[in-house]
Amino acid sequence: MSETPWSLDRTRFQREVLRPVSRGWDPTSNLFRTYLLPPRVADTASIEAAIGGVLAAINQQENSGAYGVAAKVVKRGHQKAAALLRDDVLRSGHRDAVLAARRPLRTALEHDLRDLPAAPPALVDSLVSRFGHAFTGTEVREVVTELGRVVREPARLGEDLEPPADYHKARAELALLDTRSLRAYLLDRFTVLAPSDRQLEDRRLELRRAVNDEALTAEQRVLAKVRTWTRDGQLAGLLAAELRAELLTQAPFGFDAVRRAAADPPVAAALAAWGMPTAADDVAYAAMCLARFPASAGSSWRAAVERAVAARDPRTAVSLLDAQTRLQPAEEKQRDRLRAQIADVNARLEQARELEATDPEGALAEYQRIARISAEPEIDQAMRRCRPAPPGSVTVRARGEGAVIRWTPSTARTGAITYRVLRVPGEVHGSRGQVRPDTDAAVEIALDVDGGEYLDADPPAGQPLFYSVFTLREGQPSHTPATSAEPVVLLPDARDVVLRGGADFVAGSWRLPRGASGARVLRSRPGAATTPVATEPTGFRDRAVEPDVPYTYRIQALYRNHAGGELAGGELASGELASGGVEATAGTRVQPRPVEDLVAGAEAGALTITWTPPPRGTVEVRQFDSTPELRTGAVLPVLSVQDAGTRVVTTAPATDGELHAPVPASGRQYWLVPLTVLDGLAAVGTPHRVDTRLPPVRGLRAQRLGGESVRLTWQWPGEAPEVLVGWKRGAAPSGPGDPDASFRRYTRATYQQDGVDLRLPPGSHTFLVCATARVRGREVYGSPAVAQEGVRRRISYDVRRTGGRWGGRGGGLRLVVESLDGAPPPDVVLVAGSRLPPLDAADGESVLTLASPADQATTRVEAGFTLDALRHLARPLKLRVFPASRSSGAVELIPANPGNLEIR
Amino acid sequence: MARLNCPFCWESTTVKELARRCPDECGEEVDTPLSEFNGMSRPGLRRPLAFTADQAQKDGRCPHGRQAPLTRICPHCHNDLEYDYVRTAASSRPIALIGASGSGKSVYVGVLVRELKTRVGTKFNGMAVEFVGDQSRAHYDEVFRVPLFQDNQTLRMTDSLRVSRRLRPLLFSLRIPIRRLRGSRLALAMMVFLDTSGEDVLAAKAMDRLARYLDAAAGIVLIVDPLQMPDVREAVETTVYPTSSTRQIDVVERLGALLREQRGLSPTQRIDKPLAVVLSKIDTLDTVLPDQSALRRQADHDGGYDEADGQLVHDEVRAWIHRWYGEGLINTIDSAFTTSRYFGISALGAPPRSEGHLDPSGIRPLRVEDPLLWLLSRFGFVPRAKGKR
Repeated sequence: MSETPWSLDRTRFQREVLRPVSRGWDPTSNLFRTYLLPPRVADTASIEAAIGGVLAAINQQENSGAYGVAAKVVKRGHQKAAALLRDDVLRSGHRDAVLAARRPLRTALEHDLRDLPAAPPALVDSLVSRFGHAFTGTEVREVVTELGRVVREPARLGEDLEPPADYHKARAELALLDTRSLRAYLLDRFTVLAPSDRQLEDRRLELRRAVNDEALTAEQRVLAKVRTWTRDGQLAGLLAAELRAELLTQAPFGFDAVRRAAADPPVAAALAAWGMPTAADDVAYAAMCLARFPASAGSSWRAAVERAVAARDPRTAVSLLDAQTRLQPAEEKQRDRLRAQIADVNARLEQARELEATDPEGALAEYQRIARISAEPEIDQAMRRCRPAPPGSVTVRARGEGAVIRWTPSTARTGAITYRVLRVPGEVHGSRGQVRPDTDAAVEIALDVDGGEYLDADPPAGQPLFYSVFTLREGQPSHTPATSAEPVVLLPDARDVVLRGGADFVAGSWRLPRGASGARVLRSRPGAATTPVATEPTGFRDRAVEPDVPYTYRIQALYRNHAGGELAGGELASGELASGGVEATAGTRVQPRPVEDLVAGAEAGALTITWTPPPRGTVEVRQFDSTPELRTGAVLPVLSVQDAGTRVVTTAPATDGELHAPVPASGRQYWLVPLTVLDGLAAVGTPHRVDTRLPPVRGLRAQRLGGESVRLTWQWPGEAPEVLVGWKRGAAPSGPGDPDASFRRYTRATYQQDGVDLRLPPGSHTFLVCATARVRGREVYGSPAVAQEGVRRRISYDVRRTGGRWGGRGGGLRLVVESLDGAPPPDVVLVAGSRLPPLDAADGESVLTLASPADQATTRVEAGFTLDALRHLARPLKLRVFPASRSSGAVELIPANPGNLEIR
Repeated sequence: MARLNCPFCWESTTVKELARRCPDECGEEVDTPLSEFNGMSRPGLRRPLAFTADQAQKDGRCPHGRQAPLTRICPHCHNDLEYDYVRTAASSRPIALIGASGSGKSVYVGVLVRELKTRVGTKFNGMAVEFVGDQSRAHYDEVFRVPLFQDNQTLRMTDSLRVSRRLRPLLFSLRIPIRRLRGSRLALAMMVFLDTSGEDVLAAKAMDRLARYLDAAAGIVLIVDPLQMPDVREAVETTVYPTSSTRQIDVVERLGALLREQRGLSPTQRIDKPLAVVLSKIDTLDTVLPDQSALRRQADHDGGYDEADGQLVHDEVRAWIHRWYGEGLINTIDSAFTTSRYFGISALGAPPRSEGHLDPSGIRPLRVEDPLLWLLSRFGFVPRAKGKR
């Protein structure tokens, strides 16, 4: 051993000599300590140097040091001490005594360092304190050296990384996963200790698709916590704490066991990921120091006690206090208090355990109160044992296509209470066909529901369903659920039912809900039995209907009876189930009749549109700037044509069959289409083209000038070279191409020169006149004018002689009246005037009245008369026949032989 | 020797007595007769010398020995006479047209000529209507055709053109083929239209030109305006006031007196000249006439005058005039003329749309040819047909 020249270490002298002397240590008990010499010192120079140096130091202290009294005590024994040290024999004897006094220290060190390769500095301090400063730290180090160890600070294993406060809850979840640690779960599930958000999300989605059970639920919670810890940067600390805990569990088995655990590659990898030492010896040494010397974790045991108290871990705090050989009075009181607290907790735990059997809620409440004092691991276990009571009864009621599940709240009152709802299909059991819940096929439909009601919006239809509700307390479900007593079979009705009436049928359509296999339709009417109607899955057409009779149709959706057997609600003979049904009423619909004779003509500064009103419905006139795409004669829903064309703007209120619109602008053509609207249907009439590229014809007038002559006059349309004149008996020609009408062309010159006098047989004709020209090789027609000759009946009459001189004595006269239109002649009166013909029935003397014949087939009447009663009238007598009343309408009475009307 | 009446002064003369004029080389001198005819207070019109046949040289040359134009002039008024008129006047049938101012005479003449040339002519084996002389043609065009058929305007009474033409007759002839057992011949009726008025009739004196005109006529057409009858105006609810205050009955009375005086007839003697009494503007009576009124029908004069229809119209118009005007007019006519017939016509077919403008539909006359065809049937130029019923 090399001798180092002695020098006074004033700090050591003060710490190891003066301070202890001031506290009562005898400096003569170990002169080697007092004079800062190793026990086996043999070097005279070192001894002398030590004697002189110490003397100088104590002289200094004695005069001005803080330890003056201690210095005097040392000085008092200096002479004797110096003499001993100078004497080899005395010094050897004193050495033996000193070394013998170190024996307890050596034993302690041997125990503490039994399998450790080194001693932590905290242990040195701990031993000094433990032995009441009987030994100095130097002496302890000397003994450590004598034992072949060194004093070495252990590595840190993340003691400054605090795990999150809710880690202990996660431990409970992990227990359900049969996983000993979060680290093991992460490595097993994700192969990494820090899974990415994507990995966590993918796993979460996997769990959503899986069948719900307690483990799945636990893993969902763990994933949620992992995500939170990752986000908050707490995951590393948690995992490090877990690792430390794992290593410490091996500590009782010695350094080698810990070393083996630390040598596990995942452990090494984890330590490396956290920036910690990875050498197994270092890790094992550090772990052993943590386990064997808690105060050696970088802070003093007192700090550890404080942390334990803060963490509501009195047991650890007490353990730490018990490990100390000397406690301060306050620390002793603290320990006593903590022991009392532990005793109280133990007692209360015992009570709570006993209460679990009879009042688990009360027990849980007590556990919660205990947890505020002491974070007992048992409380988590107790939470798992004390499951919440299930809800009360569960009832299910159909609402629309869904089901409303209601339950009475659970009696559980401790903790956050929520509910988990499952839909459980029913299955048939036994020969009686009882339906019971198939819990294996249960599907979770809601989790963490507050309150006592939940709507299953889209359950499968047509099959028996039960609903089970679990109570959840802090995520822990009740052992059993509450399940609805009776199954419910949801049979939603068909949707979007629409009925429409046709001319001789009623048709219906609908959409079937998901799960429906078909539909059934029943027809009824007052006073008649209900009759089924042949139907397709989504519609029907019922032709067995009478016109104008309202029918009520009930449309029921059908469902296969999945459960088999009989179910409340009525099963059809087919074995299917029927919904309640949707009722609607409809009947045949009278089809509107299209207008076929709409014409438009410019008259008096307005466009006059006329048509024959249909028997039912109203007529709208639409204008199209191009050829209408509506098919003439088609009967369409009104809504489908509501935007077709533009409605004609009227300049005067429309009357039945006539409409007045502004005169169209010149130079264009468009079409007018009449729509007959009735009961939501529109019949498309024959379009009429209005062509303003040619000027319109205005002022058309038709005047029958007796017999077969009809004169047409009109204002010549602008510069048009020609006009087309058309006519037809009855309705107006529909246009220049009307195959039932007659046509003739006139030039302006011929019109001005000759006019237009048409020879037409008697009857009411309607005339159409329009300008015409050839434009780009095509015949173009302008806006026509339409006029109808007044209906005038033509009646011929004659006065005939019946023997004797004409009109004179001895002869008679006979009036013969004959209609020329095939209908019976009206009532007529024969009137005589003197020298001048009577101008009306009241002008002159009435001679004879002939009544219209009752027989509608009679067109001729006649009667005899005389003029004897008119002798007072001057001759010649002028005879004329007139209608007997104005109700006969326009009547043209034509004398067949005018010369016979004068009686001389 | 056949005599003829100058269509200007209506003096009777013979062809031989017709005068001629010297050629322009002979110079001009004041033509007093012509100036007087034209109403000039002092003779001022200068023309080449007019000479009669006995003043001409033997070879027909003018007194100055120069070759004279062939144009004949009236020896009385010195107006030029159309060759066709001179050649045919002796055998023609002049028809005079009179009526109160605003009664529709001029419109009637303008429309009648057009109808005769077109529609009516086709029904009578190609009846031809021709103007006699360029002056008449120009007269018709300027005064009638252009305003009525080209401008669609009424004839304004105060038109200066009409005033200037007022003294000049409108001559047009009707040439009607007449079939005989042995071939056919042409009958000629000369229409002479003088724009006279009822006031002119009332003011006319015997031997006045108008009296001579009326006396020379083979038939007379008297236009009676129904709107000049108060009862008619009330019945048709018109606010149009008569343009003349002359009573139509006064015109008829004066007409009879003039003709008797011209012919030297006693007051009890009736005039045998046929008189067509024409009720004009029957289109305004549309709300008055009953549906079966014959006036609503077009006559069917297909190749002949429809006598039956004419009789019906005659009776009815007489009845209407009797109702609206009383017996006075009818009795006056019946007592003055041996032969008369009543007619109803509409020259335009519809009332004028506004002052000066006709109905835009054009002119569509009704029965305008009836009076003329009746006169022609009286003359034997057209047959009388029964007509279709």
